[in-house]
Amino acid sequence: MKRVGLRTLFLSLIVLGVYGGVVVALTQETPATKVTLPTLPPKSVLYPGVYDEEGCLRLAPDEGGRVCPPAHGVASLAHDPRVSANLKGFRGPHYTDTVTGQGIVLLHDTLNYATAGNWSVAGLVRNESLRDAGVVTVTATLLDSAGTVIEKVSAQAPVVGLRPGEPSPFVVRSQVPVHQVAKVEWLVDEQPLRTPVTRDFLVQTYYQLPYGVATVRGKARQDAPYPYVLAAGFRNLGRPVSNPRLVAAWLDEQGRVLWVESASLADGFVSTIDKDGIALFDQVKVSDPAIAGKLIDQTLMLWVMGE
Amino acid sequence: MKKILALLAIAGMLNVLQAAPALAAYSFGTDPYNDVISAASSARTNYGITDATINELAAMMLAVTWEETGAGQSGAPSPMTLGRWDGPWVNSKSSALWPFKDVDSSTPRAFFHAGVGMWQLDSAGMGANLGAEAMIYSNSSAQVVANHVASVWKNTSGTKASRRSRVWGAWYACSDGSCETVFNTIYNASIDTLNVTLTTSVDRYGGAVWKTCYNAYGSWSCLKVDPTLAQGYTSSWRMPPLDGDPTSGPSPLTYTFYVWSGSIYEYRFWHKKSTNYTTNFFANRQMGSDVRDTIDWSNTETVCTDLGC
Repeated sequence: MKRVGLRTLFLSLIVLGVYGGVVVALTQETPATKVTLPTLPPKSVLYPGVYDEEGCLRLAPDEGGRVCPPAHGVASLAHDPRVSANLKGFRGPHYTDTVTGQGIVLLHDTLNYATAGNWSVAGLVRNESLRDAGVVTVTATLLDSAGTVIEKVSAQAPVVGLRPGEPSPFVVRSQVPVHQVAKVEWLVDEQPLRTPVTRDFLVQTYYQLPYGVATVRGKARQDAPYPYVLAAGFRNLGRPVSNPRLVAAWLDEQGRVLWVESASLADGFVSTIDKDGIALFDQVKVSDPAIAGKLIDQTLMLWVMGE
Repeated sequence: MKKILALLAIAGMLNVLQAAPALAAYSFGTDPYNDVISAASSARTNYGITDATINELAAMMLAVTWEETGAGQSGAPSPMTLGRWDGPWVNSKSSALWPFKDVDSSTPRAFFHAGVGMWQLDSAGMGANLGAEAMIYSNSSAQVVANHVASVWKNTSGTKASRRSRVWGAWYACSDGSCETVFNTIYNASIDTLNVTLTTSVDRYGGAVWKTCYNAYGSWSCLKVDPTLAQGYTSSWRMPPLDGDPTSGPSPLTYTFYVWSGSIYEYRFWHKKSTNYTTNFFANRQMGSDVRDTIDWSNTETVCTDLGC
């Protein structure tokens, strides 16, 4: 119990500010440190019948031989968290290979506040520690212009078991009108996982359909009134897994989180997917006209996790 | 075991060759067909499938191709099929497929097609870790698709029709139930027989050919993809306007390009002698990523091909 408490405290980070203002880190671990990215296996492992160990394309037996890439290819590629990465159980930008040691932090540039109606925010947190995180909770304490607390709202990040350098989306909603909120105090907290999760997945998007468009690729859609649709699935690269879940987030042109969705395994799939098994999630469908029309053009982030 | 698999594959093939009437509605290249049967056989074994035959799995694979390529009953799907419906009218990120990401480019036909091959594998999804040469080459693409089909089949329960719909959930072209219709046309479950007309006029590459590319650092094999030499059905993807229409589609049809892939990048090269543009065009995208996110354009790279340097 003591260990858990210390760890939670260790990873906690309180951020004070007005809509993404000054960041005050109360705890700090170590300076920037490189972490190992959960890279996918080489294509010779993903598709052993297609590519050999040297990355050469295998030709059909009656053709014989193989076709190899240039021997003088680029040796390695520097990781850039601004560029979408395809890693185990993750696809998208904001995954860093250099952490600050500051625990779980808010990525302020990604925060997207409601501008009307009740106060809410969507954004990303990122595990800047050197170990896997558990269940991350983001709490916003809303204050009025007199500094009085008017509501305290929390939400769990839907991605659990965040690996070092990995982001997760979150959405926090309140019952307080936007115009009453003058200041926000943030607390990002983490609790251990009750059930271990695996992230050993090749994340696959199959297609996206734009909102409100009746014909795609010359083919009439059958799902009037034509929601935005995301069809996605995974290949299990690790041990047998149950309860696989997809989390999807869309970033707008400014890099702010526009929308977050999650999906479970589609009907008809068995409850446990073995190693190398492929399965599809329920299609993600968004019909809210204010949002759905934008999603097809936005940067898509995907996470897959399972037990 | 290999002998058994080979026999099974041949048995499946004979089923088709013997049973296919002369005027069967759906046609397919002979070698690509053999690749499908072989891949279905291997995947069936690898995934330990006992409740679907090789031909049944092959029919699920084949059904997708006529729908994805638009060939329908009009011809054999071309392994060279290049998708023409990616553009800003669907997704603004698709502008990246135009030379230097400029949809108003005066050189639109150095176009980077994202969906490639009979199954229209795309770097946004099932083709993320495949270069276009593997998406085209039916021996490769059939294996990727067979593993998908067999694995989803293995991991689903319910009626066979409902399981097939899950298998096809990865392809938009099947979303209206059309793949089920094709499946029931080409596959006779009662006698486990495929009804497909085979044609030797469509090879594994759909008309693409291996060439030698080279530069100052060495030489390597690259696949030359010339749409004018495409085999099989092409009306759905070689249609005008060849420069494309970035407002409402279609996207441009590329001029001849050369493609090869390493462990990190897929490369495509357009020689100025094949485009008649004033410069060469060179593009790469990171393997494992959606080309729309990671494409990088250049026209300063020099690659020598069968057209010279």
